[in-house]
Amino acid sequence: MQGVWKEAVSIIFSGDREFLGIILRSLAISISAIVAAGIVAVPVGYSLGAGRLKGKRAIEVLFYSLMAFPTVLVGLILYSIFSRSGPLGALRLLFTPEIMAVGQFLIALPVVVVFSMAAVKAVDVRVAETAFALGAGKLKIALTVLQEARSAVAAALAAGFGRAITEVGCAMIVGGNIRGATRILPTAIVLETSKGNLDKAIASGIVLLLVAFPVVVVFQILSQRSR
Amino acid sequence: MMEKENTLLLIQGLKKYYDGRLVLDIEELVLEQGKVYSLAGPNGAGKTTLIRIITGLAQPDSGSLFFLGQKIRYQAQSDPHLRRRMSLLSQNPLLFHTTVYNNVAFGLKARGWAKEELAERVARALEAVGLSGFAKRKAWRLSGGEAQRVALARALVIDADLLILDEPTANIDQKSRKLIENVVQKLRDARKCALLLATHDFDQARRLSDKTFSLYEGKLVPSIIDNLFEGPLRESDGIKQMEIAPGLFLQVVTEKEGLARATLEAKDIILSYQPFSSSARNVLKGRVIRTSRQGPLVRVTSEVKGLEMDALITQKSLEEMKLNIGSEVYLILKTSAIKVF
Repeated sequence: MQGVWKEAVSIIFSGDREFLGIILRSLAISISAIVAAGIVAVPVGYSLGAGRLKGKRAIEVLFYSLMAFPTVLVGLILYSIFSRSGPLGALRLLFTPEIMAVGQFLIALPVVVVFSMAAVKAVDVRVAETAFALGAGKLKIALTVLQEARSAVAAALAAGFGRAITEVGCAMIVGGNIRGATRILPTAIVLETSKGNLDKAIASGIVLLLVAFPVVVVFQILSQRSR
Repeated sequence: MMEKENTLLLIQGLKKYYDGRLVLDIEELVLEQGKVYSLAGPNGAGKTTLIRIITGLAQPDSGSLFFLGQKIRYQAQSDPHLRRRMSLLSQNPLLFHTTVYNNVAFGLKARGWAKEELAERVARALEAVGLSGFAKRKAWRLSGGEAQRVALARALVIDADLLILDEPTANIDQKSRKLIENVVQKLRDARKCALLLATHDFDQARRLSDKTFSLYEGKLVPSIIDNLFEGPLRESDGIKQMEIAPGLFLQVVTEKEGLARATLEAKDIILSYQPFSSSARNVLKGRVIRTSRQGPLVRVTSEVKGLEMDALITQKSLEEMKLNIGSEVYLILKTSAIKVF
């Protein structure tokens, strides 16, 4: 068993172009997904956390439920929509990194919404009131509240990123795990394990951890730096 | 009421309820431009609620507020036009989790001031509150008094038409308190903006303002509430009396009947070692239970049949009368100074 780990480590440092491609592809897809999710989910989380929307409670429950939505089902729904016979089949997005990013976006979205909402709710109510009393408009008030909640919002994005980059079910269905095209770290782990290449699977697993952790750290550093 | 030319804020028929309880009931209140007003009252009198309504942080349940002749619309809070002509230092101010500079510049940025002008104005505001050189400091590392002064600088920098200070000197050190009072005095002298100072310190209200509004249980009362009495009114031989404690009557002048309240300013009570013949109708015997300095004056609290009454006298009078805790005194209350409501 020790030999397998040694092999795994040597694969990581081998500079294998295919392996490097898988890492970069994983990062590109998940970062695109989390950027898009952040753009949509943080304002939604703010509205739910700070606003007085009608049906707010129902929307909150919906997003909490979506957090537990099986990722493989997300993949299945996207597959049925984007397959050749599906309503958006003409776009020919199936088995592309783009559709994988869409899948990861949908998977990360409820996580970022719920965590952002919790972050905004935790902000002292006087932050919004002070901004209001100092003459801020709605947008400035929202930005001020989010600024005060930046560490928790960064944590929300990190959690969403972690869920996206480690997800395998949806990526397998809509990406197809095509070598050199849609293979990413989680799908590579599944493939190599099933083929009995435990060293390659472990190498992918280690890199997945090494990639996911620093991104979370970067989110935290960025949130601290803006103070 | 017709609005005068220099009317800044006009409040009419304002009512506010919390959980079905009437917490604010103001028939009319007018603030004029360039004047300093105090809003004095004990804790829970409704001062903060009134300030929240004026600044748009809370909505009245009925009544109207006019600021610079325009009706304040609570449904359109997104329009900050009128709000931007007011500035508020709240009772428990919050500094944003950033530098002192960013905190003070916040209101200017919200008003779209150019970046180049910010630095100078922020520096001037910090200088006014004695915090020059603090611009780069982290707001969360300031002491309570420093934080309060930064919050004051943040309110001052805006150059609003109405500056509202809600208990600005509560729970801060003596140095910061003095500094804030000096700033208020300078503002009063400059007459550039109107100032509404909420305080539970009646002495501070008296010292710093041109006019004091006294608030008690949500209503404006006719004088400063140094002494508040409550009791049934009785009339005999054409003279109205209020029974303020069992067997203790005050002669009052009022058209009211039944249960009523009355206030009397501490400065309107004379202390004497013996009852003397005068035009004053109310002479009560009491015992000194407390004395405290109030600027150049001394507040002497006496107990009269279980009631506490405050009188303001000079330090010299206190020394000459050799008043100590436990000394027996006569309190002479001028009937015309007792305001029944």
